[in-house]
Amino acid sequence: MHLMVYSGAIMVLFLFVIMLLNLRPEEYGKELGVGTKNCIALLSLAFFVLFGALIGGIAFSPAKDLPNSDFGSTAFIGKVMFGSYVLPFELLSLLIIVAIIGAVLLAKKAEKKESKPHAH
Amino acid sequence: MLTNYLLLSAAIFTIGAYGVMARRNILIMLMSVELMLNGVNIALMAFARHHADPSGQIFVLMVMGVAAAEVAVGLAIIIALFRNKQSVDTGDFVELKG
Repeated sequence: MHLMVYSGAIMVLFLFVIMLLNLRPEEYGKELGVGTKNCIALLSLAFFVLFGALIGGIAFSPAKDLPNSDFGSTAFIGKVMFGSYVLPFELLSLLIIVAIIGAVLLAKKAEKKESKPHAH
Repeated sequence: MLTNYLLLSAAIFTIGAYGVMARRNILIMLMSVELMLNGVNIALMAFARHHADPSGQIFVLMVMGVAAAEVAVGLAIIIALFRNKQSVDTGDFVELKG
């Protein structure tokens, strides 16, 4: 599922856009300097150390036993998703339709309006 | 075991956050946002297994759907932006006026 969505859809979209834009190497954009990037890397490392300390410091309860043997299977997830969580599922489909319409509208070329004589 | 998954999720999230902060190319920043979403997905799955609750897995599916929709709209915006400014450098997008 993850593979299908990410490598089949999102990466393909990215490749489409990259090939559509067709940038030369000098158009890539000026990157930040090495010093700034090192400062940001240090900051991210400090962030990660904070995360690690938080995660290591919490005493998690031992993992619960799985209630049934087909816990992560498609059938079980389908039963739960179309059972209790059908509302988020439908709303997600609505969101995808809105995103499709929005993406097509945003990426359209502006129409050239030519003045044609009106025929009454 | 849970802490290992959460550390992996934190590492992926941090790498994505570094990508958003340190790069100026708008396409790479969008890819880094996707990385952050993936990191969060791993954490959600780990907790779903830990508490033996399938709600976490459903949430992951919703997050993946939202990420796909967001990438579509984001890339359309990038295309429109490139058409107007002829640049993918975020340093050039400084005016609110189109």
